[in-house]
Amino acid sequence: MSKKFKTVKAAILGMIVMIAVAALFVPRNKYQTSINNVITVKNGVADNGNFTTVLEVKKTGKYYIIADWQKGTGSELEAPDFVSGLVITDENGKRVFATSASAIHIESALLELEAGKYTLSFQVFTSRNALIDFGTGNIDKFDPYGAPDDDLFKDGTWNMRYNVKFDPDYSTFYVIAVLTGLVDGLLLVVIVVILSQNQNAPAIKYDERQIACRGKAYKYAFFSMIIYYAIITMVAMASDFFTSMRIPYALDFLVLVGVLIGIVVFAIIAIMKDAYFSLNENRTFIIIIFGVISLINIAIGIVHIVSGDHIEDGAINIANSGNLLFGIAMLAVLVSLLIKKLLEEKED
Amino acid sequence: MKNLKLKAARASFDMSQQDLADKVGVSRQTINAIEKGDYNPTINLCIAICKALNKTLDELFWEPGCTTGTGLEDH
Repeated sequence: MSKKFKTVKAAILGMIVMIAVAALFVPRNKYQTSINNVITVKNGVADNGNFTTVLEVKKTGKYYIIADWQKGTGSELEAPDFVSGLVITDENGKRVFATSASAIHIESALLELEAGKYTLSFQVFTSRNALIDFGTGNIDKFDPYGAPDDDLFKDGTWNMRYNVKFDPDYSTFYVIAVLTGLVDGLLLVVIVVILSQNQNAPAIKYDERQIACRGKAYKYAFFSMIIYYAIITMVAMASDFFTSMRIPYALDFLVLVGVLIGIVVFAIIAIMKDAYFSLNENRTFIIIIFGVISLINIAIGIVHIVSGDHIEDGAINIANSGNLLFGIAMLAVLVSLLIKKLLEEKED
Repeated sequence: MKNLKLKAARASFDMSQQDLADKVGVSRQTINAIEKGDYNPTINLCIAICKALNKTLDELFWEPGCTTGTGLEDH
């Protein structure tokens, strides 16, 4: 078994082990319940307006309590003409959470919950006074002046859907997942670099002309980035003075553009001067890898544009547009590689 | 200025640019650039090429009639 194959095998094994370790930290203690209830209010009295259910927490720990309810099953919150209240108590009758709203999606702070059964008591309020009584008795910092007027409470029948979820703390898993992503990403780079080397060749090595050319390419890339960031800074400063002027891009997006400008300028100059690949790199393999990465990123970017979520708060953001940007940058490098390959074939 | 002496020496050994490049540990494009006069190699590379082709520095890299030089050409 060659050393190269052994290293690739070790890297793949490392990736799998990291993923397996991260999987051990996935919180599995999630508890939820859902209640569908038809509530009829007639002459200011709610039929079926008091109901309870029990949610059992099997593992003591920190949880977010997430409660949401509304009429119907639409994606936007739709409110009935009454207010629902929720009180969650533990086995000793101690209140751990309470809220009220006509329709709501709320997430509590992180709460330490002991293992045991928790009672979820729902109440329907059909008048301002009943709501204020409930709020002042159960909810911390309840504002009675914020309660709706009596004319907002009406008779009618509504199909209500109540969901309550005890969501575990994901912060430890999140940190481990990010670390796994970073380590696996690095191992993937190691695998690609090893596979891109020709058989029995030494490590990556550039000759003296290539080193000199790469130095020039770095210089031009550096100055391209400096000029770009200077322009962006000036435009941002100008937009402070001229309020009608607004840059429709989020800051992180503009920073990424600068980084990609540096990478692309360096790559194109190095490619055209035959200094991009080291002496023993498998060019076809690299071109294929670049092509695949570019296409995947462009495809993801197009999906975001089609779904319309590449714009957030009126600005193009990095989260949903970064892939397209990265894909285009990779495509620019790929096109340069193909042009250079054609020129070389023509020269030969 | 093209280095025809290098090209001729290489051809006399029936070597391709790639063969010579492999022998001295540089890329084929670097040998091509030296032959075309687009790149001035360092003394180390000149020596490596001379050894590979069994020639002296004068035979491959010294221009006839040239006795002095600034050595400050732009690379």
